[in-house]
Amino acid sequence: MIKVTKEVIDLCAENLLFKLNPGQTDLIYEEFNTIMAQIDFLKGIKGVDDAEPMTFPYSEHQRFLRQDKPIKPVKAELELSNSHSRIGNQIKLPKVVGNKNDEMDE
Amino acid sequence: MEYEPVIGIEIHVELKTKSKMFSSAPCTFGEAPNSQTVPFDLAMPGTMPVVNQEAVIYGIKICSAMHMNIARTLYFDRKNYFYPDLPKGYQITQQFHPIGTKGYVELVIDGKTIKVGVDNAHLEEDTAKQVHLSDVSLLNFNRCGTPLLEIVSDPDMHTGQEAMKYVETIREIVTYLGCSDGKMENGSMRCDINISLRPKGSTTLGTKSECKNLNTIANIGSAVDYEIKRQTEILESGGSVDQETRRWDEALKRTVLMRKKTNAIDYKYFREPNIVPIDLDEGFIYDAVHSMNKLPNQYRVEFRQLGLTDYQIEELLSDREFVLVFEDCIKLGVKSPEILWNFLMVEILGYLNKNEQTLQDLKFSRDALVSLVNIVHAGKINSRQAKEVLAIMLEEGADPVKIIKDKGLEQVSDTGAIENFVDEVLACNAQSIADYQKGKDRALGYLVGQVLKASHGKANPTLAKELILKKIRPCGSNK
Repeated sequence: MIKVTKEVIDLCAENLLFKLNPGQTDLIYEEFNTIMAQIDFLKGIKGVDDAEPMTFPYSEHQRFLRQDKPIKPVKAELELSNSHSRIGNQIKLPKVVGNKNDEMDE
Repeated sequence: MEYEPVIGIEIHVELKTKSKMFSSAPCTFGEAPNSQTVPFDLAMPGTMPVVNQEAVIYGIKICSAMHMNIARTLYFDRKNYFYPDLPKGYQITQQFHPIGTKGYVELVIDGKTIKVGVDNAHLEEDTAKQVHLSDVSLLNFNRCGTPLLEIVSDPDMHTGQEAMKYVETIREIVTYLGCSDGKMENGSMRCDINISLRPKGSTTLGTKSECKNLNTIANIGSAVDYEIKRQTEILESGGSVDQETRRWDEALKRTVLMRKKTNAIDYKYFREPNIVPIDLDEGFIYDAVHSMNKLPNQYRVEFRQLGLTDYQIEELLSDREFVLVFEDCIKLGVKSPEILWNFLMVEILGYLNKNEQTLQDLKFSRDALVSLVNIVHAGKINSRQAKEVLAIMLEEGADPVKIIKDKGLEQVSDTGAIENFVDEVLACNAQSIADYQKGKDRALGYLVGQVLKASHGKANPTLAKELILKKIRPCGSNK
């Protein structure tokens, strides 16, 4: 398993397009250490690999559904600012072989 | 060997909500590319999905119309795949607990009713739209996150006609419920059809091909018929059908290979951890089911009772807006559903099409239309005059009673007045009288025409005919 260092945390943040200040990096590093220690502890439990993974730590249900009210969308210029290249308002991509677009709804 | 085709259909229905399935971005069509998203649709860090209530209501309504069991708790799952059309790297869907399970729809084909099972219907999100040019692909995220209901049929169909009717029936259901605009040409209803053949009498399914790119009902029939023929030829020549994805080529009028399917893709489904299971109140489900619009099959029964023919009913049902106008007019006391149908589906529809207008653009009220129909039904004006009045109503929106009065179109039904015209005509047409009395029926029509001409079209033709007959009918004749 990859060792989570402060450099790894900074690199992940950069890949996700945001920057951490040194205090934030330290905090995340500390939290990761706690998580990793917990994982090491779990790994030591006999038969843990045979258990089904859980999505939620305990049974929790809710009743909330969002009202169907649209909000103002992000401006096209801002959305497109993350794209490497474009044609008009569309994001330009290298052509991929085949038409995966059709396949996704299988 | 005789083969039996087996057909199953998956339909993706875009739900007509105002906002997306899991975000509050607007759901629109035809806006500038990449202008209809919020950070969640672009998978920005920290954004979370929140389920759209209206999409759930629409899902419940459609499932209920298809006689399905409705889930009391909503669960969502991740379908993982890496492709630019979904920036999260997965689609949120309902792989393991669909909102609707085990229902059916009824298809009426050549007077016979057949049931097609619906295995499940599940809520999910649409992907971004890609356009593949010769050297690059273009990506537009506007569609990304639009609510979809995927409806999966059982493999219960066996012909192109059944496949067409099934899709048509689903389209009727979703459009009549107001849950989708069902426009296949715009992609708001997309069909994938699985077709296989098996020896007649066998219960084992053969190897299937999946057919995509079917954007009209007619294409569905053509593609299925083509695939049945193609697979039959392969099997009869001793070959075996490969599992492949094909698409309908409109220009070539045949299905063409897109890709071979060697292994099933492992999407590594797992429960969507960002959506806690959602319990649906019984009251919520009850309200959704009991606020459903009337469905086409209910209208079919009602319209048949009104005396419309099957042809008239199907023509009318092809546009729900016309059905609503028709229904309103019936409630307002129209005396002749048939005359109303003719006005709506011939004169009014023709005018609107010609002028690229919709029923919303009509310049007159439903009351005015009912009034005109009842005037015609009472014989106060004839059908030619009614068309003239309706044309003025369509152009100017005036009240039919006023138009008839202003134009002096009201039929003369006063026996005395018509009798004068009849006498005048008979005096000048001795030959026609003789012809009629010798058995030439056409001579009677000519005489009625002359009376109408003399009265400038105002004489009631039925009355005119009766009076002429009274005067020229040979003694003892009942004709």
